[in-house]
Amino acid sequence: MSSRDYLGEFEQIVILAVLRLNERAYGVTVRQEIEGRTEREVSIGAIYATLDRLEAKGYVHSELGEPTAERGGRSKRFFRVTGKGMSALHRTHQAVKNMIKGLKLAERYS
Amino acid sequence: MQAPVQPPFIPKHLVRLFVCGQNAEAIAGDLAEEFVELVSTAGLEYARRWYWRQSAKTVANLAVATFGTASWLMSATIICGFLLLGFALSIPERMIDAVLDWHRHGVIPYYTWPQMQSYLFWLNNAIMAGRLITAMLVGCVVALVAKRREMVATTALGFLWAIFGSVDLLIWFAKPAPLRTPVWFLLVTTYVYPLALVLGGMLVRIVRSHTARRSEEPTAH
Repeated sequence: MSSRDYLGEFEQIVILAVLRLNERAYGVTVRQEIEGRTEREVSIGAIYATLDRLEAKGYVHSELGEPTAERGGRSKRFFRVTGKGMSALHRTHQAVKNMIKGLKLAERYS
Repeated sequence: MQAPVQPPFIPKHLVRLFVCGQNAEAIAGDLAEEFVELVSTAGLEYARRWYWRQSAKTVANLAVATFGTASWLMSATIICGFLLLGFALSIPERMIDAVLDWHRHGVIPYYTWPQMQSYLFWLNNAIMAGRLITAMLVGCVVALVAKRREMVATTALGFLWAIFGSVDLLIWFAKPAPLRTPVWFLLVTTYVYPLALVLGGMLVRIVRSHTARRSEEPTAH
């Protein structure tokens, strides 16, 4: 297994946001979901750069929706996580869990 | 009826210039949607500031991502562009020299001091204008090679040129007085040529997006 099969920190956050939003995952909602839950300001460019990279790896799939008036007649680009993306997420979490196992982190940082 | 509030003009067009492909429409739409939402919840001033910040970050993020996805193409384009610019900037001077030499049949006429000053003024300005046009043309060439990354390529090349130029400026300050080139000339070389390069990239980008939009429009029968 190559190291490329693991997700980076921000990639995990973006995939989790897409999973949480289900059918409503597009730029604005993903950005707001991440900002709301992590309390860090994220740019729409960072979200798209990450989603483009994940799509190139086959971890997410995107399709254009219908254009709407409040967006100046522009379409939304909806995202969903693929099976391959789910496996990568699971693998990454498993690796982190294995690394943490046996470490008493709560005691170290208390 | 009140017209809908528009996002600030400059960042809106910066995003349009720097972002291309399928992201262009989605990102512009996302920014517009959040801007309208923020105007109603936090006020116009806050929404404008937010739009500026988001656009700047978005352009920076996508520019870095562009280098990540096509690092070889971008590096090769920028290095070749730099060398091309270095070579091409000497062309206007040589051309003007050749034309003047041909015009006076190789004989250097006698000039009084005011005539000489006037001659040098027009010669320097003609060379400067020729170089600015040349830099813009090099920007167009770089943009054509960089395909859908016109603005990122020309801006990166402009930055590279400005960095080298700034080193030249520092040397200018350290040099003894008799060897000094006029400072305005160095300032133009350092900071105005990069702008001409980016302008060239911008022209190619605008022409390409107009052509793409026209080809997407359904043909009327």
